[in-house]
Amino acid sequence: MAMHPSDSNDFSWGSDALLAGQDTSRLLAGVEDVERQQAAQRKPQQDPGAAGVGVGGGDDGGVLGVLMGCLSMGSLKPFFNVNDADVYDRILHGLLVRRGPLLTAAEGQTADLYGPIWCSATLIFMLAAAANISGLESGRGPDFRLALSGVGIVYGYMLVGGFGLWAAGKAWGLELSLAHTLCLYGYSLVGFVPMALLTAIPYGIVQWVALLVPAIVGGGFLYLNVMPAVREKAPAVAMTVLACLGGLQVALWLALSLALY
Amino acid sequence: MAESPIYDGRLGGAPGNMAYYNTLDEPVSETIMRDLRQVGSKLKIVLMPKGDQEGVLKKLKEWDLWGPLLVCLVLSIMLSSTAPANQGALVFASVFVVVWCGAAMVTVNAQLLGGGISFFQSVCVLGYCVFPLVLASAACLIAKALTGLFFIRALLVVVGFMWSTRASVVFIKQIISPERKVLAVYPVFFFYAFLSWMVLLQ
Repeated sequence: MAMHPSDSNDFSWGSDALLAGQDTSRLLAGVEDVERQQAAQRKPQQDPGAAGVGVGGGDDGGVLGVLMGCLSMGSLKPFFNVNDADVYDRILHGLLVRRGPLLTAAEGQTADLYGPIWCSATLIFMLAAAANISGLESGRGPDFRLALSGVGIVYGYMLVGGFGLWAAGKAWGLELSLAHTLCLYGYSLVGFVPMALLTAIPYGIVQWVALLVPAIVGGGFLYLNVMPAVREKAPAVAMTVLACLGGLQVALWLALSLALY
Repeated sequence: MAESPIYDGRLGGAPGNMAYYNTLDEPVSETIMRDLRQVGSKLKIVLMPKGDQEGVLKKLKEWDLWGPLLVCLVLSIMLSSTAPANQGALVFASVFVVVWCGAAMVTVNAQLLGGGISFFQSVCVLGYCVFPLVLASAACLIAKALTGLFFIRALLVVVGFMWSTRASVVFIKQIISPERKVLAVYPVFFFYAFLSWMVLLQ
């Protein structure tokens, strides 16, 4: 039951990536990612459109693609080329259950943006819910502003960390693409999600410790992923990088503890 | 059989000629009832998905946004009417934003993961699936008036949440490849959990 690819009355998001999209692809993907993506091409990709439902997004979205600029579907699709098993594996890395580098070049793994986006969204929701619950005892009603502070802190951490690490990589010759750094910082937030449940308990010390543990675990995860490359390629700045990584983790811990509880 | 008064006095048309029937000339009540009946039938299909997958998909291809708009409006009104006095408008607006932006994000996520459905069809189904939460919200209002037990309200919201999620997961599973099912379903789960949280807080 194939559908006509371009519904004339449908607002399809085109996969036009000729002009606008490539900026995002080039920005996010460094040299290493291009190699990995080429390796990933050899991974068999399932095409669910063949199931008979038909493909809704045709190539008729040219104007829309240009309007949408760098956020066109075509340019973001390579960063969502992950399966359930891959994301599960990366989450375990973020929790330090599995050590070792997050992305294994040999198997053609590419950085994904699914993890950062949904881990941070889940975390913000959990933190806001827990903050509201812990505030109930002291009589504060459900407060919308807690959710807004949570949004600011979590996204600030991810963007500052991701862009900062990428800029440092560019300056000192490490081959870390922006997608890779955002991916790392996204998955380092995973440890906070279960601990956010504990912060609903309205005792100050419990909350501070519950936020400190994942900050340390996340720091360890980042250390394991970033420091080997730094030691190999730019050993002179190793201490600076380490200090910055640690500093950002401490800043996150303090910001969350103070703003939300 | 008496001719319908609609056809009387029509220029050039034979009496009772169905080809000349123009929906612009029907009574407003009939237009509204037809749309309401369509919304109702889609609600029934989406909320109680039977085994006929092909039929469901075919019916859902005729997407409309009236149904989701009605559902969203009812939910916003209910939640904002029970909000504290100075936050009523904020709650109304935020329910709207959460429903529409949330549905958009879930859809874009499914498309980026390789799902084969068009944007508005998916938004339409997700919007219709919010309806059980509307029912749960109404039930919570009644429960709050009858008994102050938080537990009963929590139970109603959980039932509404599970019903909504199950209805939309049945749909999402059909359009995404099997290795990425959890990745596509999780945002749906998250979207309805967020809405349930807002309903629970009322």
